[in-house]
Amino acid sequence: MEYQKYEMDTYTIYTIKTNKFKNCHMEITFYDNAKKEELGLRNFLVDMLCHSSKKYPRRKDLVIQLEELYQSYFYGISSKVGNMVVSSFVYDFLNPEFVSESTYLEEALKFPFEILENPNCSENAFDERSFKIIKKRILTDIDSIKENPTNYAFRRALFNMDKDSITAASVLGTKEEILKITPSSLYEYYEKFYKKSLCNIYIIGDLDMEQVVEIIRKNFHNNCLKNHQVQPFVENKTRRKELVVKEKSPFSQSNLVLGFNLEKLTKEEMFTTLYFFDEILCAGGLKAKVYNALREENQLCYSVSSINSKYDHMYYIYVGLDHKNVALAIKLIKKCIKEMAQGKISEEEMNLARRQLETSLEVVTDNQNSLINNYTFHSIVGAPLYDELKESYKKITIKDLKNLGKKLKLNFIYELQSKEGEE
Amino acid sequence: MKEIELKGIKETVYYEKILNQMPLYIWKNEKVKGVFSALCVEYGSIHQEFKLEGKNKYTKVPSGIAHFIEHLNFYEPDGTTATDFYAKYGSEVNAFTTFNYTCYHVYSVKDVKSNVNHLLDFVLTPSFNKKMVNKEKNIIIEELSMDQDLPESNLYFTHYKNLFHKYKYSEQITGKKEDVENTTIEDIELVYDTFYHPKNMFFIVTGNVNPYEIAKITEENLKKKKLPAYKNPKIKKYREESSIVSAYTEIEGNVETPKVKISIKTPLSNFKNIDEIELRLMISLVVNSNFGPTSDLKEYLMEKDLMNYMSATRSFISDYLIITVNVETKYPKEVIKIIKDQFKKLEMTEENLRRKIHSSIATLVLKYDDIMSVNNNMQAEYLAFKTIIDNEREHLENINLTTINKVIKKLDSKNMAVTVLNPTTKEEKKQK
Repeated sequence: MEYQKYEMDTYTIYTIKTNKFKNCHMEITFYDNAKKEELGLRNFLVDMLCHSSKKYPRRKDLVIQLEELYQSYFYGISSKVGNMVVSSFVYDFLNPEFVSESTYLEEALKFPFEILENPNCSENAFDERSFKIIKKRILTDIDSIKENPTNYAFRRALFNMDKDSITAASVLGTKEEILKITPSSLYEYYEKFYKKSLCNIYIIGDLDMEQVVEIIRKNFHNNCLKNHQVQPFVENKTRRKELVVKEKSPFSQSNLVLGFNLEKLTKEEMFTTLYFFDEILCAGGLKAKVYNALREENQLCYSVSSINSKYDHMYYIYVGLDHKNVALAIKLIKKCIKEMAQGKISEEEMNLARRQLETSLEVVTDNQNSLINNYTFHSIVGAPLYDELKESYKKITIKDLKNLGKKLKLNFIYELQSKEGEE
Repeated sequence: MKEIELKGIKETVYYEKILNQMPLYIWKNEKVKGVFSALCVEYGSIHQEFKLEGKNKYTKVPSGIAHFIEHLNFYEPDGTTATDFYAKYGSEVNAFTTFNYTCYHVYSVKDVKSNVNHLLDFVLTPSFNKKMVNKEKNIIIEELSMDQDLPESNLYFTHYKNLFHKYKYSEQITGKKEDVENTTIEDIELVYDTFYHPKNMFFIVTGNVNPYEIAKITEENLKKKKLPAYKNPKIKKYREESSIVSAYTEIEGNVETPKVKISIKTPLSNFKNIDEIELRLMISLVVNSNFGPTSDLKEYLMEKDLMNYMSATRSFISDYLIITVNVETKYPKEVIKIIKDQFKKLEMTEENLRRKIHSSIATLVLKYDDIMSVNNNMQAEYLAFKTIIDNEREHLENINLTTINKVIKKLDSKNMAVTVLNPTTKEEKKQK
């Protein structure tokens, strides 16, 4: 795989040339520091831009064109990563080698820029018809968070932790914020978004990258210079004593979330040691400490999951279980964390985690999305590339994990109580 | 070993029937690092009544037993688990149970030979005892509770109850809590001994492998095992009536906006003279064209503010074709009426057909990029046709408007079941 970087005046193109895939994958990424009051607006805009355009005024027209381009896919996604908001327009298209038309590459690459630069607007306002469709869909998405116990428990847990923290804000925005957006205010934001967001383009495939860069240069007219920096990390407040919150729910299982602050991590700890730590504690499936304690030894649950939210300096453990077992589960999770902080980690656990992580690094290189995701965060925040990670994992010791374990501070215990658990 | 050329997409699948018992299919991709091996047993959640060769009576086993065995099979005779074994190699092992089969799979990068050998060993070496059966019951009950908290799961199974009189597709794959509690080690051993046999299994390996080596490992592994003779069980077939059970049902659940499933049920006997592969492809094209993102219907519903989300699927279930439209809408009555009307006037234009075939061929090429999805597709093809389709592109190119219109005419658009999942709260009901 050949990694290349092409610096343009106002954006950078990052390419990975490989013949591993028949598909080509491109992401046009706009990123910036997150502003809580703009999250909903930004997400709305990304949906709006992918729904229709001047040339393809209805969703149907746009999808027909994608079918003509040999079943290409185009969609947008806005995500909040710590204090950053990353909005990517993702485009998958067939490798031109499988297509007889000699102009296919040019036609295919033109498409996403045509959409982004010629939105469905007139008189400085987005098309009312498409606007209404997207607005309704987002309002429904906000409502439907309550339908999924995991998502809802997380949302409520973070709200209770600190409703003012950017960590607690939803990328969808609030209903009140969405209701205030108008076709004109959205257009105003579009201009700002396009001019002020930092921008990178990532592309992977078996392509002549020089030609690709030339086609992008011709079709992407992002002319505004930006020179500000992103500050990706959030410092969430810590607590002397953990917050304990219980809320009622209509679900038959209780949903338990434990949130931990990650205090003063080094770059190495954040991008490498934490993954190793998580593998032994929770992410390593049935062999992990928490999984083993809760499922194998006590049969309290079917699965346990963890989220390494390093940019928020937070770490979460989540489990769905019978309300009567919640107290025991909390005790066992705390015990496992304590063991990590005391360095009670066997050589066998170290070896298993190392092998599992090495395999994961091999597996992700078979996946285009993972490769691009890795390249994205490498280029934006200096996260290590997969090959660098492989070397770093080899060097991690029990002492490193013990040190990291001491930096985990319990912030909250949140239980979304089952119907049976109501008191 | 037979090399099957997948015509028009430059791919080859290797095939051998190991010891003349178990089909093995391999797709080699030297560009990737991983290998995905899936060992499948043709025993799923719907297979609850069967009789052994020479017996007159059917034996009934508890619902959810296929899934229960899937859990237990990870325990090994020496007190370890299959997870312990694969952890040593950094490989990922897992399993799933469907209505029709149970699949044990491993994603490995290193020492593929040991990984494949052990997959055959742990799946085909039972090690059950009462203690582990009781231990696993609590874990499975938590798993089914998790599933019950997803309102769409309730909608799915209720809808299948409304479609089928006798088929078991309306029962949760895990079984109900009482089924799990009532399952005994004797039930488990009976099912395992009856169905876990190479003659009732198939093996699919995709990724960076030498097909000849995999075939050799598999053959040697099975040869070493002292496998008993296959019992030739006869699974009870239910004669399903062509009518639906209930035309309209409302249920309640923890949703904010009503969700609706609208299905038509057509017996496959209606399509007697149509090639089965082409029928499946044509139905997909018809469903996509009439209910997909390029359809006028979807555009109309969006424009009139009548729905938030809509998708459509087609399933071939035993002797029936089921076409289902799923909609999330605040106006179920209006939307149901519109979709019912659409089912009566299904159509395909020459232009749509050309474009859909063109994009389907691209999808067919792109399918061969990811070793897991290729493996999953091969599993589905084997279950449907007991072979791998080597000429899908030709079939797609054979499809014409005349045949599609004939197929549309044979669909029973009046034989329709509708299930609506409404929000539970009284306040929201009043608003509707």
